[in-house]
Amino acid sequence: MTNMGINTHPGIAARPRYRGHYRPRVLTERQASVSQAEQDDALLQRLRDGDNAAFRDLIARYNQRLLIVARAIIGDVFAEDVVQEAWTSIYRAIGRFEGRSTLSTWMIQIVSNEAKSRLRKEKRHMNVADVEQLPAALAEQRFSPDGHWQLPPVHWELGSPERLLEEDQLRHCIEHTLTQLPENQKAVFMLRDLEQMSLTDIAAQLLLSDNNVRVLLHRARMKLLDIVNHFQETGEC
Amino acid sequence: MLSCKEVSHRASDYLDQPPRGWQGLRLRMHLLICGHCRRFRQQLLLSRDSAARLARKLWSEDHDAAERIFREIEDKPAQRPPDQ
Repeated sequence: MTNMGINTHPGIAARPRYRGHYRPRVLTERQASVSQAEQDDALLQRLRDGDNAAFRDLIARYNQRLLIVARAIIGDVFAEDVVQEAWTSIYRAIGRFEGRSTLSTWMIQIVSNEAKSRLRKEKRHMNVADVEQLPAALAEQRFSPDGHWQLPPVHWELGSPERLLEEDQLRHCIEHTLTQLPENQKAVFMLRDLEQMSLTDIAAQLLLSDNNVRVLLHRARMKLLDIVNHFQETGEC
Repeated sequence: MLSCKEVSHRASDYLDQPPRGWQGLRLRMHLLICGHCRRFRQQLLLSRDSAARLARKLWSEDHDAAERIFREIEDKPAQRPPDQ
């Protein structure tokens, strides 16, 4: 009997208990973003040399992210069309890219402009940017009337991204949640937590107010937190 | 004094725009004495970073789309080659 009844969690029963506090210092998303920028620099040189295989690599790497931005602005129906146009513009203009922003920021700007232009042409009122003003609150029953925790957060056995992502079931749950996020939440999460864009720049790119960006980001992060929390508590998604 | 409810509802904002001055001091004081809110903040960071790491993989490597999109660009001969 090695488990001593400490952890009956089926997915993580054999793993040692994590006792430290998570500090995001091993590989922060900002560092990952720098690493991405370095990869982009190498790719950019090939693109400037007219290497079409490099352009295919660029599309493969960024197409989904550009689609997320387009869908958040103009909706699903026109998004693929807009992104195709954006890729054509990027192909034509890549030789003039001066590196004043990162390559991904520059491409996001292009797809955002294409989507806004298409939005004007379609003369439609798109509701995709509508956001209620109040953030999705944690369940009210978690707090007592004086605002203190009534149901405080439980201890998590898996205490680092590496440990979390070792769990196949949890990884699939997070992927599913990311895929199912509403388009505007997905775009805001991607632009902030992957691309490290400022909230003000995100608002400008997506035709949202700063406050709406904050609310959407809060909601996306809380959903992801809930998924991880549920798994840590029950071993299931 | 901030309540736990306020701290948790603003936790996402605090990650992006840590409050300064008096507001920052109030937050630090609260986190100093409240283990539950410290834990909540760490869990928010952990789930955010894990999801971002996964999303970075999930939202790349779209090779099928790359071929299709590039063919469409190539089918517009007047627009080739790219500006050098």
